[in-house]
Amino acid sequence: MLATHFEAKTRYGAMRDQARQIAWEALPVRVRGKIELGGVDNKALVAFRTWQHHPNRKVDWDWTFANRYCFRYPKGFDLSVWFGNRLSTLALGRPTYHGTSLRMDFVEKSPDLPMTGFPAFIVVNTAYQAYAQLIGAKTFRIIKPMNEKLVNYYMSYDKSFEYHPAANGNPCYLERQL
Amino acid sequence: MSGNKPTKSLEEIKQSIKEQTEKALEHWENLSEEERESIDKETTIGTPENLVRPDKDS
Repeated sequence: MLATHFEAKTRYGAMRDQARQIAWEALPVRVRGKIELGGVDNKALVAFRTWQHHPNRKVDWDWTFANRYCFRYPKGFDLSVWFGNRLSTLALGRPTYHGTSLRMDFVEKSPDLPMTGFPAFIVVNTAYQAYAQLIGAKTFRIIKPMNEKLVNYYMSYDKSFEYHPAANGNPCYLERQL
Repeated sequence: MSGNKPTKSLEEIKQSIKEQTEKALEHWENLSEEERESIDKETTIGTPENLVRPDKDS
């Protein structure tokens, strides 16, 4: 590992922790005790194996790619959301080349965790937006939402999201100014 | 990739995240049970293509 890579990993690691803490502190008091945020680390990958082959999964991603992703993008942002000791959601994202935007590339919710009364993707979005602001990004992008229903949902609750259709080999995405 | 300086102070970032959370929750609580369940089940985003696409601003 190059010294610059190590330095970025350390420096941005502190900001990743800070972003998770900011998002957690913004949660209503009634749910804070039930939710924990972490990285996509070995603990999260072990928990992921319990739903890896679940028939209700929407995708067949093998989240062990997170290790390669995090090594390749030391300024990226990895996130796991836990309800008690159960893994709810995994997410990965990274800044764009010039760091002007933070992309949320992957999010997957556990297929076997019932509705808990608090939607995990809200804290996923806010943690990403906290990290984006900490690293000085100007916009936040949700890359390729799964379907139109999700696109409409995001745009209905936050009018500042703009939809960008797929173009020049790039997937569609939603973007908001920070 | 060069680092950029945050344009907001830490307190401003915390405040904006708090507001985002409150706005999202308020909207969520106004959805029907059916809508909530449907959205909750489909919160999957992304594509493995992102792993091999060029690392450039689009």
